[in-house]
Amino acid sequence: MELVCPAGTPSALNAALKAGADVVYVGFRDETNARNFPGLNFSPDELKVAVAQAHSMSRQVYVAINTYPEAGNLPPWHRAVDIAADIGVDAVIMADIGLLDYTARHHPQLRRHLSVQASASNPEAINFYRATFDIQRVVLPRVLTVREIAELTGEVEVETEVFAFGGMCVMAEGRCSLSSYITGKSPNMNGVCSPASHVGYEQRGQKLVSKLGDFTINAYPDGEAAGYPTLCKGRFIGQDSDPSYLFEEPTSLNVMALLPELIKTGVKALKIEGRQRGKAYVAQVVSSYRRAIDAVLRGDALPDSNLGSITEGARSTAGAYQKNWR
Amino acid sequence: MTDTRSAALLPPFSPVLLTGFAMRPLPVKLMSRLLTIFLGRMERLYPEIASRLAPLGFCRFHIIPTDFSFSFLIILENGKATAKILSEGQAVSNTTASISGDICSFTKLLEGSVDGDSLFFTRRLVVEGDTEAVLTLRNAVDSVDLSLKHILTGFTGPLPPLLKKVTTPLSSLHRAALKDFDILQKSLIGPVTRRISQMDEEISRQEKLLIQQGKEIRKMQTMRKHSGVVIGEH
Repeated sequence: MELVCPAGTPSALNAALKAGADVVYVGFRDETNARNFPGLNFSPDELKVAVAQAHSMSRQVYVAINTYPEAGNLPPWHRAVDIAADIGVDAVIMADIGLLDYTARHHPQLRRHLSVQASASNPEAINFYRATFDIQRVVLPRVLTVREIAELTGEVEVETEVFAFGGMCVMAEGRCSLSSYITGKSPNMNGVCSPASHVGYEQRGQKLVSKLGDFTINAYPDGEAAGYPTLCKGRFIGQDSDPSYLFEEPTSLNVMALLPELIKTGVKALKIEGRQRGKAYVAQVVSSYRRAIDAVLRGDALPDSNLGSITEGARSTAGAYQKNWR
Repeated sequence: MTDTRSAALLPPFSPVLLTGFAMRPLPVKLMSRLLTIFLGRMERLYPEIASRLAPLGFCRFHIIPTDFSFSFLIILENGKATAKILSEGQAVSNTTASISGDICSFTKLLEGSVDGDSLFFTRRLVVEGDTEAVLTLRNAVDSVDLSLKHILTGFTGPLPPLLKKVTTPLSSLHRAALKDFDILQKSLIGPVTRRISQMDEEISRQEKLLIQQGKEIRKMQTMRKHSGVVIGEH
């Protein structure tokens, strides 16, 4: 079982390796990756150092080039693939079929993983990507139950990777454009959901008000944990009601309690989300999951872990993994 | 008297709060000079921070430690930083963003030993102004393995041995003082905490009672329905 961990900076990469990551995934400092936040990500030189460091510890580095190239502006994405291949990264994570085709033709030896952004969640779709672009792994969307993950893993010709911890979306991965209705930018095209340039917080009396552009997304009374203003996690006023979370509450995915079952499904890797988070988050989550995976593989009980303080909205859920109404 | 400030802007009861009071008589000019030297040294030791900050161009961050009687104005120009110390109540204009929180949170953030998002989401940090600039600053500082001790003990001249002599006992003194303050704080708010616990227990008891009564009412309604009498629908 591979533990795949996020790093938005070289320092976070150090923290992930130190905490026991088998693989660290990173992105370049541009719109080619889905965490295109200011001050974040790796330059080619920093990536070169990171790969050398990880390889010296017998660990791996994957590079996410997982946004959809802009029509008529392919060079930044092609350049990203070429640089990653030249540096000798262990795999690239991508969603766009044009980019997968480019990589398969120009760098056939470079491992290709299908990003969650491709939203491939059935055997036919996944096997099509395998047959056409020779992908070696698929990162499954967070919409499947543990039983479905087990069945799917048995039916596809590639390795499967699932998310274990981190931010949650409204389960339309790779297909969400909500952010672009207010900001003109979306995660799929620009690598950023609710870009920080459009985000604002104001303290109004005893409430913290979060805004995206000119729209109020939420108002948190003092003492209530706040969240980042994404439209899907806003509080809205429905018919004759007080403001409430109509789509999704601010909460993080945490499948630690399901680890024994998840490991039995045959998935190859567990992924931690959060390249936009700091190194303290990376160190805490990765070390907790390292301990938990090692304990389960030894046949021991799950160790105690306290990840509550770093979850969104100070809450966590096992989400669709334990959906019991299907 | 009621304090109308947001709870996050109230300083924690700690030894640092008292140290802040004690530092009030120190001349602002001297502290500004020391801070600029500190930033210069930080820039030399961690040049990667400047390269990540460069896209911000010109920025003014107002850093407000809630447990100190002064604040910091950090001015960035193409990744190069200068600083001013502002005394309590001193007006500051044209800031890009302001960040308020206790000084321990700021030092932990600098060293990357605490998650900035968690501090913000749990309201221990309050951010106002340009969120993108603050995020860039956080990411830039977090991109290196910064050590305050390394910066402080690297000053040239007579300062390093002196700082080493001072910082080591000071940090153990601070740890001990934190424990004492924790005990003091618990003893001060102990009666209130106990009262809240009692109220919580009473609320839980009442909630259980209400649920039980609701069940009994539904049971009675079903029984009466079967016997031909419907409560509330006459």
